[in-house]
Amino acid sequence: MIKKILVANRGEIACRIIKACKEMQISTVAVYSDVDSESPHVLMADEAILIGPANPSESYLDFDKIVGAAKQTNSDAIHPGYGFLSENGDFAKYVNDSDLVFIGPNPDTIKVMGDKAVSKKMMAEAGVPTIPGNDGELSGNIDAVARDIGYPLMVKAAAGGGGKGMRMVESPEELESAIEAASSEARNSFGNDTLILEKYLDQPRHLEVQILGDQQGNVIHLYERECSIQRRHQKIIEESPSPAINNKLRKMMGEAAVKAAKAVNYSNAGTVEFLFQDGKFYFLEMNTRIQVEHGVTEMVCGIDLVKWQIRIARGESLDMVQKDIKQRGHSIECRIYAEDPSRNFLPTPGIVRKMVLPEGSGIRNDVGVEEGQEITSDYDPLLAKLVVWDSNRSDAIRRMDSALGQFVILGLITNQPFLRDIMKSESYRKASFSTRFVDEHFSDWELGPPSPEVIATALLASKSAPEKVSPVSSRDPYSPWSNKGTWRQNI
Amino acid sequence: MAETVTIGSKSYSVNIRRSGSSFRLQIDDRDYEGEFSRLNNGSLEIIIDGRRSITYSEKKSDESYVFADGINYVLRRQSHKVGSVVQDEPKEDLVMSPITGKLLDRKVASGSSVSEGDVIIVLEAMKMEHRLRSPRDGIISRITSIEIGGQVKEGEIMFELEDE
Repeated sequence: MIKKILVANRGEIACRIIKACKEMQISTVAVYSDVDSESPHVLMADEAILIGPANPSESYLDFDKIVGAAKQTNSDAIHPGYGFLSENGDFAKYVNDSDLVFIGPNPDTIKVMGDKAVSKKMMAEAGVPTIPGNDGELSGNIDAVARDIGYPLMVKAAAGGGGKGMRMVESPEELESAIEAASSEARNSFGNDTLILEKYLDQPRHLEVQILGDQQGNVIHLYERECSIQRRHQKIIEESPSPAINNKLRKMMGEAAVKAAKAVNYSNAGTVEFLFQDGKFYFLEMNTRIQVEHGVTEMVCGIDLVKWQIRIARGESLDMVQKDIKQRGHSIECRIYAEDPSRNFLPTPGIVRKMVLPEGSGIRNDVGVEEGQEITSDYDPLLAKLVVWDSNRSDAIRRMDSALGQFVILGLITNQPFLRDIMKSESYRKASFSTRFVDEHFSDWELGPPSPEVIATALLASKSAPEKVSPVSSRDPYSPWSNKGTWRQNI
Repeated sequence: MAETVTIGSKSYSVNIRRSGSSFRLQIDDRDYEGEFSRLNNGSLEIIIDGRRSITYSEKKSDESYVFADGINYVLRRQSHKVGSVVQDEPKEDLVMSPITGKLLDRKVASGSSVSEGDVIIVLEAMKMEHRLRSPRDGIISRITSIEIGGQVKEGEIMFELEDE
């Protein structure tokens, strides 16, 4: 029985989880660091425990402090959210060994999926498409192997990392010299010149499939999310359904994701990520946690994923089968970040001095900050997620544009103007994009020239406001109006 | 007093002259005329060329934060005075009549040293008294020469300040 959950996270996802718990009449415990003592998640929870200084390794990443807080408050379970300890198999095991429920898959699944090489091999064995290439050592007729994979391709050091020992090969003539260069680099860098060849995807889209699995072995998928709009390899705009795939591909991808999950006895919510290009999709990795962008799936499928995480963790089996899951309409999420898109997306700490959230039908705000809060450089600069739903993609884009246009957030630089420009762009509307979208279309982005209203507001705001003036007849020296009889006060 | 406003990498030379609820705004070489009023929720209603906008703003020393046209802006501000520290609150130098009415009193003469908040001019319109106060410390470099009891037009310059 889960009566009390400790939420081992902060920001919008902690708030999201606490709200789900409240609806399920489950008590909540927040944990927080020094700088978060007045953060919304702390104020929202039934109890809150200080677990240390701002530095995550001494607070939100500290196993003992988090489990200790759970024990101290008689919590039954720990929800890790995303980031921090959510994909740490050792932490999940530590939680379980402490007689607490970890709300997520079992520790072994987390560990297997955390190893890219192991997970790729397991997926290939389970029949899930992976990026084509040779697995074993390169030998025999290398030209033939390369021809089978197709050009362009990547020559990669098997032991490689950090871009070392990697060469992109566009045509057969370049293959020999690329192999020589890569193997000598690999030998020098890793002491191992084993190479693999892999298909190079130059214009991939990032698609992912949401899955839910219960502890009884039932697994369903909740269709795909399109997450190709990224900067610095991090998503900023997600949507569901993806405009890139037809129903046949959608079905294939969903089935592949279920197959992947079943191959590792997956339970709880998870996401199978794919790269998609030229009508084919390839397994990328599996995320063994709730995703930032889970909201768009909830909007189109009408299913609360966080509540299901909790139900599954307490042993309930899914009350729906695959054919019950339907995509309805279209949903888009924009992540509002404290960052400057005109300066390489540098984080921009500051104080949220004013915030007015958009409202209206089909608009959802998942927010983890409030007015007066200081956004420090200690944590991820995600301020809020704005999610919209409408009956089709073009209406959803219009609704997002309009909602972004009502999103007031003053006191620091955010990416709000950038997101709005993307919503207005032909390239986004046409939907023929890849993960290189931002580089291709918005790499030199700058805020457009301000309208006179912008300048007027700044100048007028710093000056005195017109005040009510006093009647001439009121000559009473003690009248409060005598002192207020100015039309020019410095505010 | 003109100042430079920087948004992102672009800078604009701007100046505003206010008269009651009216203003004249100069951005580089372009001029705009408008009206504004402050709403109870802290936002501002601005009408320029018949176009109405509701805007929000906050400020911190030399930065202003403005929401207008559906976009959140951060503006860095610098007054045009050379060799001086940037003021927290850039103040206007020219004070105009906000109303059409009657000049009731002129408290100081040209050349007087005044402090912020000092009453300089008293006007009357529709049985209401309007006191024009000095927006900052300084010297009155010019003041209206209209005789007491004479008519004043809206937007007419009442006095101008210069640095001590």
